Amino acid sequence: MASRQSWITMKRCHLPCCLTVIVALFLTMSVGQAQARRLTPLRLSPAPALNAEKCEQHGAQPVRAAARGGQRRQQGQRPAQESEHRPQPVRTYYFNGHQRLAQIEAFVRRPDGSIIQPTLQLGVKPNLSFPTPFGEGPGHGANNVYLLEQGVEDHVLVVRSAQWLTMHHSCGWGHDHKFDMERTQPQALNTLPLEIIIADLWDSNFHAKVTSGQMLTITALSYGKPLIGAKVQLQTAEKWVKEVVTDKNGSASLQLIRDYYPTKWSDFKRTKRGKFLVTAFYEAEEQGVFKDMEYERVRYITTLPWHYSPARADYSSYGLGLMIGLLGFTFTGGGIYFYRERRKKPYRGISLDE
Amino acid sequence: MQSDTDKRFARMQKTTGLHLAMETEETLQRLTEFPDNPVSMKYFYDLFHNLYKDGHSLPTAKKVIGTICLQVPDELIYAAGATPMRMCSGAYAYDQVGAEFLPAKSCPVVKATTGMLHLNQSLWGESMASVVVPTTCDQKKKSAEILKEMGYPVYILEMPSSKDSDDARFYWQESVKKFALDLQQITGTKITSSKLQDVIAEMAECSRLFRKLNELRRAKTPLIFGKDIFLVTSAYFVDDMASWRRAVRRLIAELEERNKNDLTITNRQAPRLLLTGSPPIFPNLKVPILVEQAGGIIVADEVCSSNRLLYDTVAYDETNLNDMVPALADRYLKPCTCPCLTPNTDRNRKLEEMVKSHRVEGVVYQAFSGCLPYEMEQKQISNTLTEAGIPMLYLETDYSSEDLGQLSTRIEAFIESIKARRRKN
Amino acid sequence: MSKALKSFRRAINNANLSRFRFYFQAASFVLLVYGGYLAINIGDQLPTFGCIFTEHRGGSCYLFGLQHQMATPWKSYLSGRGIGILVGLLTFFAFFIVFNKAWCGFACPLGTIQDWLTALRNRFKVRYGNYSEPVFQRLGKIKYILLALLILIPMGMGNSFFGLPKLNHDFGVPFCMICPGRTVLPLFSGDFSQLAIDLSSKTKMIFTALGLLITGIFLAGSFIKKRFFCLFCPMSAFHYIFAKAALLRLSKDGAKCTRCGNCYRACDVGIRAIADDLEHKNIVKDDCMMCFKCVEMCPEEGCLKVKFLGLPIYESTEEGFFKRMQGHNNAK
Repeated sequence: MASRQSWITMKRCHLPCCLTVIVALFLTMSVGQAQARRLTPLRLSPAPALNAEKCEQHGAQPVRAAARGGQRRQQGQRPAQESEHRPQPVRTYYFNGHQRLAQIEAFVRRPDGSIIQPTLQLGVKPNLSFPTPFGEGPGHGANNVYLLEQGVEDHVLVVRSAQWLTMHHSCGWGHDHKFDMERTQPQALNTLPLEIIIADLWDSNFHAKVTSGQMLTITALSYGKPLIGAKVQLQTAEKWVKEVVTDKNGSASLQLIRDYYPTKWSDFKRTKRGKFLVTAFYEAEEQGVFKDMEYERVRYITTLPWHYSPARADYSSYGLGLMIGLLGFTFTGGGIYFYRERRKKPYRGISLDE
Repeated sequence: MQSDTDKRFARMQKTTGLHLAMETEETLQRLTEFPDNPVSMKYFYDLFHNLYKDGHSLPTAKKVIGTICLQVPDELIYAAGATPMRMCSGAYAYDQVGAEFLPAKSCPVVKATTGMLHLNQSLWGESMASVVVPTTCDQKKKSAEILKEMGYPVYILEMPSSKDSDDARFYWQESVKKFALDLQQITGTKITSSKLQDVIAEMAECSRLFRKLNELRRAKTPLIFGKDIFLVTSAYFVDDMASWRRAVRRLIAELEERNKNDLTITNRQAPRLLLTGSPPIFPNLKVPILVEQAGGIIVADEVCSSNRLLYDTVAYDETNLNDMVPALADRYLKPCTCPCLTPNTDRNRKLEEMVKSHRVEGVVYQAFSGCLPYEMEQKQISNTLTEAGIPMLYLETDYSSEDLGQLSTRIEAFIESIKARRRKN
Repeated sequence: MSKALKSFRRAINNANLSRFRFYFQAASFVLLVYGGYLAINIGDQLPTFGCIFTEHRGGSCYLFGLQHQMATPWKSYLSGRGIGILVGLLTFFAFFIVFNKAWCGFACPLGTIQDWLTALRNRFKVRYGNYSEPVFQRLGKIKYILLALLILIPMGMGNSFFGLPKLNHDFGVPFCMICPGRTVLPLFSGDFSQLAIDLSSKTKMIFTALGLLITGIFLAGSFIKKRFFCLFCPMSAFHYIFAKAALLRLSKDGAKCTRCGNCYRACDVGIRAIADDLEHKNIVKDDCMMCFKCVEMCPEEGCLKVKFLGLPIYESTEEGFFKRMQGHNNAK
């Protein structure tokens, strides 16, 4: 509903706005051609957590570092990762810049299915924020965060969106909704022109569970319906890229690569979280008018980042486990057997040491 | 050609047989003299009558294994295909024969048993596969050596003289396990789990019935005399288990009927007494008969010829021999209150509990002269009972009838004193 | 007492509790291991070994939560985290106080597995093992050491003891890491992942290796010794702290006891006091799992009693004993 209203407001266009769009279009005409071919995807990234405690296991950064995170990040430091174990009362996400003339909006689908509009702040550091109150109930589970930007560039309607999944959960609240299909399965919003859904990103306890080497099933949806022929690309932080095209069900599968190879065994961190970004791209021959501007085709692009850990198989061994287990078993069983056999022999008597 | 000794032996055999028959008849007569004897007791009267009628015969043709103490696990003997027969004798006639082998001051039970086995060796020797003697009291241990010399296949079942420590318990379990193995050699039959289960169940039924009798004796209305109970349990020594059970079931049914109709066997006000100490074994039911003739009623007992013989139960957890045989061993050691064990405080506790549960007013402590363990434990039992406010009569006696007069005077006085106490309270 | 009630109680006392226990154990095994499939979850503060590592469990052991919560800095004990710890403890207590240690004898899935192994051994006609009394006493102390460690090690993760560096995260839930419940119970829902050795760090490696070694010992040990693991179980030690306050009790009348030792024979754990202690009325010892086999095996009228809130609900009777022994024989 909320998004339908925004479609209506879009048509109420002001003259100055239109003018600037035209001017901008002229100015960017030359480079626009190239840009249109290689769209810069819109991306969301979390603001450093201010209240997060140090939690080595779950990757949230210490309070001190997080407080200074704003400056540090510019020096190349990665932003603090979110932890589904340490919820925060308010979430803020930055995005990587936007077209000034485009229309931009954001929604959050909360785990209980309600939709709220986060506070959008455009400007130098464009960001959106929304409350994620502590406690159980509606806040328990995955929040789907959407940022949607639409604008016509060079007779092409460019629809760029960015998705983010905020796992809002603390084990302290218990795992009450673990049998709730709507919370344990990814949910889509049928008002979005293009959306990515990835199965099995988290387990029924609301903990991220993707590991390297895992098969990912990615579904592209358009207004809730499967989208055939969309290009889906997965890129890891190490720039490994793989692209697939969705089938008639709108889904495509690809295997996540293993790209974590520390040189020494002791450097290996089981809790290491690699990041990947899934981008879906789709182009349609559609004519229409958007904000008094005609377009001949539409380009959709959306992104969804997630993270993954080393696969258990990378650092665990069943063979060794079985061996050690058998060792314990035979040692005990054999011990008992020999003890019993020994006891059957007659008493030997006492011998004194000289 | 008969030698002098043989002649003498034959003569002794004959006279002892006569004495035994007389003794039996006399005892049976005194037992049946009581009014209102339960009809179903007739089975037991007849049993003993027939047993000693003409010569003392073994009541079964099967392979018999004699046991000289209740500490021998009968279940194993049955499971090994033989019939256990408790050889402890209460016959004065045999006691006199046994005096040849043992000092005059030794215990009449041991003397009588030795005498009996000596006299009947030629008759029973064939069918007695073994005589099992547990190492309980010194006299039994020594009698085992005498029996061995006579030529009996004596089996010494080693038993600890204490039961509290784990060591004692395991020693006894090993001893019983070894007994089980040796029994299979003796009888040539393998003890199997299923056979042993059956036997345990059968004997459990015996103790269930005994406990039922015991419960009936608890009733406010006196239903049965103690002298009859001792006859029933003495019968268990020698009788076939199945027919014994049938007879006891009939007796129980009769007593229950009497209880329902509020029929009492004696005066309702008869002082309720408990008999403990050396075992009254048929035909030596001298003391119980005297007590009950004097107006008391024995409502409970703590003797190895009755309560201790049949009260306790075997409980095994698993149906394999390695659990059942130690379970059997435990049944014969753990609850045992024989004075040959030290410490034997369980006996004091057991008496105290029985005094309460059977509303006992006085305790008669019978000690056979020569039976040192019971004589020596008299003091501590007396102390315990005094603390509990229960009077105790200590009687030192034997199998002879010489002390009848003296005993009956003391018993009558004791019963009178209990009645007097009652009036005072 | 009315006649109907009397005959009802007689029927109860004559009942074969062990058979009932067998089915009850199987049912609670299903509930605790597969409860999730039926969308049942009775919580993660149970005084028994439902295992948190079992994906579709119907409830899990409090020790996991306790260890997890103990890894809290001192100052946080007084904050909301402290309330969390308190709430956890109270939930545990509420579960525990009603059934006392019967959680071990009737509900514990790991205990049930051990009972199944015992039945298997019995079928193979292998004799069981027993400890001698001094060995039993000595081994029995291990559970208290484990209990102390499972509290102290997580504390050492959140805090620094004597200026020593804090333990790293790999020390988390140390007891779970060595508990055979973690490795064995998930197997029942087809999850074999706990059988792997985690090589990602030295600590993890040692813990998982120890866990599997103990699993091997557990399987062989409980095949031979009845309720082998229970003697070392820190949950049992933890129970004992609260056992005196519990509503379900096992009481003994020492005067009626003949020390025949039937109860001691029946005792899967091997508590000698059940036969030899004549003074204490409340006879629940730290190793007791309240299976009440002793009550079944006691032939003395009213010597052993199971009481709830002081009311006897199951007691030893002569009649019941002989009925059960006879049944034992028929069942062969």
